[in-house]
Amino acid sequence: MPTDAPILGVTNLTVRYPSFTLGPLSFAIQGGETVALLGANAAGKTTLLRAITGRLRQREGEILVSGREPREAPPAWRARIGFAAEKPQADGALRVREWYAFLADCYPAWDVAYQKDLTSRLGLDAGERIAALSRGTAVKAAYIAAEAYRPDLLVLDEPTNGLDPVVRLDFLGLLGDCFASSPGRALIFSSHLLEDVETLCDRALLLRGGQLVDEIPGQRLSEARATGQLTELVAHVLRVHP
Amino acid sequence: MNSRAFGALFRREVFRGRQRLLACLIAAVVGIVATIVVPEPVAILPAMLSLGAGFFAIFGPIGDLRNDKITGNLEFDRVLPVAHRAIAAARFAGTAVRTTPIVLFAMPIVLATAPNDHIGIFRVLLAVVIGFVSWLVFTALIWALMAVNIRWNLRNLWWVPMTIGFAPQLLISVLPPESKRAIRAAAGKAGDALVALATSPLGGPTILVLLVVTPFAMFFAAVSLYASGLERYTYSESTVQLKSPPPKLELGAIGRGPMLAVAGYCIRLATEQSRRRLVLLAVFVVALLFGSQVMQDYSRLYVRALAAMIPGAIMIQLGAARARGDLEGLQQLPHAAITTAAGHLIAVAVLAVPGAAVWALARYIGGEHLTAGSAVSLLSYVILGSWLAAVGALWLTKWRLLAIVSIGFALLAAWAWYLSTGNVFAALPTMAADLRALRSEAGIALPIALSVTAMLVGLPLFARGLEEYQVTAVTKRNAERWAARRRGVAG
Repeated sequence: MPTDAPILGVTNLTVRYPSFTLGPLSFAIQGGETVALLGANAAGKTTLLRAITGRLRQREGEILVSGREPREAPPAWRARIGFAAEKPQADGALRVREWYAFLADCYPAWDVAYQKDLTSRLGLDAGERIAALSRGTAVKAAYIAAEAYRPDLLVLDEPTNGLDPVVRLDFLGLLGDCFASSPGRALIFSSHLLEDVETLCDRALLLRGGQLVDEIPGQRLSEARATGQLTELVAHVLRVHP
Repeated sequence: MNSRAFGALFRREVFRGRQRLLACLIAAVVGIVATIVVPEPVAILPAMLSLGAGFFAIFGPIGDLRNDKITGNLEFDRVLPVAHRAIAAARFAGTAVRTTPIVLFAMPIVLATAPNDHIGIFRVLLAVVIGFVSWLVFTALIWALMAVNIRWNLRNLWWVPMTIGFAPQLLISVLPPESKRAIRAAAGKAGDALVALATSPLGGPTILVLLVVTPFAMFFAAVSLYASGLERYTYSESTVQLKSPPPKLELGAIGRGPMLAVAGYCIRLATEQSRRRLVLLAVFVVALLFGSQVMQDYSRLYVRALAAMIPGAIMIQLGAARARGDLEGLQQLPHAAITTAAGHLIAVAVLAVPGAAVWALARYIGGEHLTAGSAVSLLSYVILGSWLAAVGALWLTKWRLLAIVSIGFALLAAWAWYLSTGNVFAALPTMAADLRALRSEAGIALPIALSVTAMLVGLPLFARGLEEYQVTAVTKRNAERWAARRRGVAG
């Protein structure tokens, strides 16, 4: 259930590249919300997610995570954000459990029991080298690394990309479980798959050409889901807007 | 050959280095103008500075190939519907264009050393010829290095130059005396024949033909080697070639804090990286202890090089992590960047101990007297070198490197000019003697002071490099560039 305190507040965010500009964008995500970021390729989804997590420094506008601007917050504040891309950000020579042991030393809130629980639920072999992981397994390993310290804001960049349908459903179920019982936390993820949105989201933000063209609120999402119109609704918005 | 594809690949190679090409051309032109304009006694300064900038023209193509290997971009080339030899030829043709500024970089030096302030047409022609020959030689060298790097891996071939040097001696040392005499006589005859050819009327044209033919031969040989390397190339997401099973040694228990965790992470990776090298090191140490004189001479140098590579592994890790984007994982840890920097420094210092110990052993067996002072001095130098290399791998950008090289050249040139009041090259032996005297007089204090200074200066630089880091591979601009290149190749 969403709470009133915004976990993420974005105001007039602009990222400029020579031939592409993201924004200006403004939106907020409350605690307990799970939000999907939808858009075609090159719509700016990854750029937006990287800006939110503080990985993109050259930007304008304001981003507040749990009330503080990540660029100006002390380094410990980074533990309030978890980010998982398509593969773990560690040398491939390490085993997965070695990487987790390293992160456990670095993140004070790292919960080893939780990490082991997630590893077991996702069927991940932590004895594998990172370089030997398949694409889907690498996504899972990266997700656990971002989730095991229960950050306020979890940011996932196309988390279900490369997962087979069964594993994807299990993974989405796990995400739902993790966030259903965490009113003080929020999840934002990018995806091309509307099934992900149907299964998991309270809200969807639609991005096109670097602009936030629409927002599908929870009620409209439920209605469209119930009548099987979700795909049409999203496609309509992404096509129609200039 | 698909000429459109060849053209596209050639353009890609030239375009990716166009900024560096332009910068080098500007530096060369500025160097030439400055050499002519400034008074004769100080003309050597801009000439040396522009020569320093010339190194960038050389390292660009080699650095790009290294990045292509690390990031896996070569896989894209490998599966193109174009013959691998054509891909290699296009890349090397593009490389030759990228190194053209070398033609100009010899000019300022030739002009600056012109006697009596007289720059005649002969001097200019001489500068152009020297520049052209330098371009041929360096370009051929770059082709060879690129081809060897893709086919094998330059990092794994550290043993080749010395082996080429020592192998004949080793072979000769085990032969019976009469065979040795026969080989020496044959070598003497061959040498005499070469001298006779060089001094004959045909000598000049022969050398000229060799100068022109050799780069072409190098080109075709390098193309074959590159194509063969591209055929075999597979991308690995690690600094280590993962052909062996994971080691039993793993990162230790939880609860040591971030600084030690980072140090442990680096040491763990370094041990993995160094496994093969450590076996070789053991072999060389055995050869050093029990081998013949030639074997000892051969092993001594490699023992030192391998010893330096033990802490040097940190630099390799950082370079690969920076190119691949893994560095972001360290950057986003919830701790100050200086903590991560300190973790790396601890790792360097820990790994420097076995490195310096093996190095000291090599010295001891070589007959040098070992004292506690010399051991500490050696350890300090190993830490100094490894730490600077690690900081450089993270903090250096091309502009920072350019600035450091330029300032270094300028300081050296200014010192040489001050000592010589004009004839810079005559001052070089004096400078070397001064440095030796300083090292001898300062004793152990010098390496300790240098390494402590490097640690103090390096920590914030490392932290700054980590904070500033941004993955270039995923920026929009870079993605667009790659997309454009792919479109160019496909079209």
